[in-house]
Amino acid sequence: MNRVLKFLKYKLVPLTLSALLALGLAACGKSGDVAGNRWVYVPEFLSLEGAADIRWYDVRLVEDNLYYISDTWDEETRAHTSFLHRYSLSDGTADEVELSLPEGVNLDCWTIGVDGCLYAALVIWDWNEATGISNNTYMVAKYDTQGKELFVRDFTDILEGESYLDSIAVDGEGRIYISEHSAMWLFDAEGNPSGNVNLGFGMGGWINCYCRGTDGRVYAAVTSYDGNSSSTELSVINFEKKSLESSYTDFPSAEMMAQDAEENFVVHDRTSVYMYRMKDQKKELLFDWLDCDINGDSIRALNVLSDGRIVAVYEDWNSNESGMVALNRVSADEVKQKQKIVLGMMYQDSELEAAVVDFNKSSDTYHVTIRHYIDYDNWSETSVSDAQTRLNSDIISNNCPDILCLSGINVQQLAAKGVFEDLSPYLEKSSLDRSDKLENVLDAYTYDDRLICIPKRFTVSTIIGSAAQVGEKMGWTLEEMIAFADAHPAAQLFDRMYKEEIMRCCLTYNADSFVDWKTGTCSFDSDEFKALLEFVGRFPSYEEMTNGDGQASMPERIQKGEVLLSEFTVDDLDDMQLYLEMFGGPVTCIGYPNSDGSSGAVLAPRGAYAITSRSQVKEGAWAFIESYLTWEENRYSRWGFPNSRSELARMADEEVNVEYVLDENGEPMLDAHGNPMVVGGGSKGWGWDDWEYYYRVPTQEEVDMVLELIQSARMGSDDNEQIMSIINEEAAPFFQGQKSVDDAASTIQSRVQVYVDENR
Amino acid sequence: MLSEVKSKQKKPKRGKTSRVTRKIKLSSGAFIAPSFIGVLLFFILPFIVVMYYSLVDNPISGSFVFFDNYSSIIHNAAFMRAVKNTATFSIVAVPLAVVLSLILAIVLEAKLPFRSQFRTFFLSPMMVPVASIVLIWQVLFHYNGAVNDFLAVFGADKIDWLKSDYAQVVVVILFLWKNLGYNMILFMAALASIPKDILEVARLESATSLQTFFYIKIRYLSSTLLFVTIMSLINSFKVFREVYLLTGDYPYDTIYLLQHFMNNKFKSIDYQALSAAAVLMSLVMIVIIGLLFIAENRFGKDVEG
Repeated sequence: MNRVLKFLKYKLVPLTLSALLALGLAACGKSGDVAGNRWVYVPEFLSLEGAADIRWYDVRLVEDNLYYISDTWDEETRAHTSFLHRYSLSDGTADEVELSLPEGVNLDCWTIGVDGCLYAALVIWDWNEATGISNNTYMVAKYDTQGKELFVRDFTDILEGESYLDSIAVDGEGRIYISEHSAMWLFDAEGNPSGNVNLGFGMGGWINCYCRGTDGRVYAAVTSYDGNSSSTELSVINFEKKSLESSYTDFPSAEMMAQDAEENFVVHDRTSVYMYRMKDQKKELLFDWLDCDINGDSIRALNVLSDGRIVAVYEDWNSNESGMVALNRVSADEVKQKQKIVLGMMYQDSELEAAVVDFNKSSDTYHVTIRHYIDYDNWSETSVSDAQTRLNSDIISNNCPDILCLSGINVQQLAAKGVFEDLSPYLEKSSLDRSDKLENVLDAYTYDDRLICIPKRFTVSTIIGSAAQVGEKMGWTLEEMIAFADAHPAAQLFDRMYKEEIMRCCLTYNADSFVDWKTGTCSFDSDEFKALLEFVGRFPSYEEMTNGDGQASMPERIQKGEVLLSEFTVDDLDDMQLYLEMFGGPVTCIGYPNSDGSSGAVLAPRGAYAITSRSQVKEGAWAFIESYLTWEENRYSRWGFPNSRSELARMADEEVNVEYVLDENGEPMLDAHGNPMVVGGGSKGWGWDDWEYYYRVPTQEEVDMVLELIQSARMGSDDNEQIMSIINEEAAPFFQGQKSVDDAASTIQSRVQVYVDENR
Repeated sequence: MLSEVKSKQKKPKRGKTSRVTRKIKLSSGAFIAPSFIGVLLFFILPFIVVMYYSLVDNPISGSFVFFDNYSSIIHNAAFMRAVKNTATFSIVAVPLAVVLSLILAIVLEAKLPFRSQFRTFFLSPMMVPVASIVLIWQVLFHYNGAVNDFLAVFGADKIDWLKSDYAQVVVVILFLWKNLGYNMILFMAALASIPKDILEVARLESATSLQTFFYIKIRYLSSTLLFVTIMSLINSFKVFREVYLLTGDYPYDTIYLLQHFMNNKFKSIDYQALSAAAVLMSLVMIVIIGLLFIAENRFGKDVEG
């Protein structure tokens, strides 16, 4: 017995415990598919023969049918007729019915019920230009499958003023749910108002989208915001209780969703599609749209067919392609594998996604995927810093992206560590002409003679004022700007700018004038900086500034001489005329003040991507960057100047040398605003409540001013952000009258000195 | 006696001894292997990685630069300031923590009324979450906080406690407030374990309280003193957490600690500077703790074993 006990105590029990420990460790690891297989989704673009005049931005996918509405206008009878079209995706049949809509209505939003009837929120717009008051009429309507009106009921009275209804849903019993962003109204099957849903949003929230489930109930993806973070949940709308219930957490930030036969939800969140399993409330990524060569931003509708396939409607404004696509699930082995290039970015950029789609379609060798570092599904106040930490970890580890978007990261710091590849050798070998690029734009991304990025586009920001007041020379120092303000005590320096913004303006190029990086000394306790603090202290706080709303507009105040300067972001060659008109005469782009009085125009590059030195696919990464630099984006989403001398010269020529529309006398015809009409041109203008301006063809002088500004612009330092943060934090008690200027300056000096010492 | 007992025991044969010994060694090795692997993975290997990072120019290129990083940080003004502040803080706060907690333990050992309530009172800061501590300290020591309001009653000017030369005082008070209770409990347990008969003999021999304390109690407390000193030293580095939450990445220069330097270097992927600083810091800690062990060994050896 003793031997048995000894065996148990000294052998069996310890061995069992060790085995359990080892078993626990064995369970730690990545779980893969049970069959060890990988699935991918391959797009099949559908041809909808028999379907015509589809407005792809306003379609509905219900069960196995595609619904859309078209309108016709009869010039003779001056009658407007709407038709509801149905296209069956299962048998390819199409039909249409004429809708007997009331006169003058607009279909604000609509959907199809389980009975095939059309349910709509109608609005008659009525805006009084003289009073600025809207007197719209809102109605809920139902039309049967032949287009015949079943009911139209006015519910204007239950709305609180002007509303922008954006969604409508119908449950299995024909009851109607209409919403606008964060409010929801209910109607019974006869269209009678039945109350509204208390959405319970504390600090804020909104309804992302609706979906009628297979059980006939209406589900809503609802995002709530508590002031610090946001989260999305799937809720069921209880019509009787007029409330949201049965919330399912960890739901993707849905733009569209549909329920499949197994009662799981297929969810589109702008970049990807997820499967959300109701049973365990977990989401699983099915695919990224980019992997299917589709821009997720172009998706207009999504559904799950009765055969289980996922279908979507897309409308790509960049490529001008639109249609329907079915996503077929196949084994990864059946699909040709390309070399993967990972592009890491902090913020979403739909223009880049369009470029990636085009590149992936055109390349047989490489496939670019985008890795987003910010988790938009679970936004919180630490999302950006968490994303930066994740990015840093990836850079250090073997998970570094091949290409990095330089927006939102400290480029200077990373460049100093050799994170980026020198693009000069690639540029020399490529068809791109370096001499065609703007040197100051390339200099913005040159560190230690290494060119790490070639931005595609850029904008320029500056400060502009009347030449009669600020002089004709571009550039001034901080002292000169303060003296200028002192010389005009009756006027405000800027319109509606509060202290922190004034500080930013003053220190955009000046933070380094108080820091000598060579010797590591700071002079924030100097008289000059104290004078700056006292100068900024004269301006209103944010609360005081917003309390002053209701004043005349900025142009009006400038014309009256109440405001002296304006911040000005230039992104088009004809921008100068607006300010010439505002200031009523010649203007000078005096710029942000800086230590040597040189032009203080700030360069803001766009489309800046760099290859990482750790990339294993550098040739492929360069192939994408080269393709991106020559890629033609949609002109309506284009913003900023191209980084190309020849392109700028061509644009400048086209701006000035235009062809006018001539009358019978050969004179240019004038438009409604008195400007000569240009062949193929349109109308562009800016409007405030009390001031408006419509653009004309710019003069050569105006275009040259912009070009001169572009040539003189340079980029600010990445270090400024941290210094500005310390200055703003420590200056606040002084601005609030709690501390003296000496104390505030002393604290700023202490803290910034620590920062400078640490980073020298 | 013991040796006689031992000699009477039969010694096993030589071959059998080796087999048994080998078996014992193998089985004990197998049982401690999981712990050893854990220590290897989470302590030793990371330290080797830190050593590697301290000898390269940056974690991206990995070019070996010998001791350049060490030279660079020793000449870095921020690092030297951080070392000075951390050393000053530790030199002031650790002895205070040890001495004050010992005094408290002695006082509470006496038969005072509400003794257990006082004990709970001193222990309660240990239970308070960090976020709450930060909130409390902000309420107290903010420029518009309770302490300045109190001082204003006496006509004193407001002091920006955390952004002035008084910042170190506030941090020392914070450290003491948080750690006194724990140290006090350790000392109370150690005081309770001192043999009563020796104290009685001393009392009978007309020893004064001070003589009893210094010649008997301190000696018996030596190992606890060593432990409390080491723990207080380690906890003095942990005060960074509260300071960071109160003042951010770049505080006033008097409370800029070594961990601020290392934390900021981590954020800016300056792993080489961070690692060099960590290695230097660990060397200093090894020396200090080694000295403490020597002192304890010399001072308390006659009461051990």
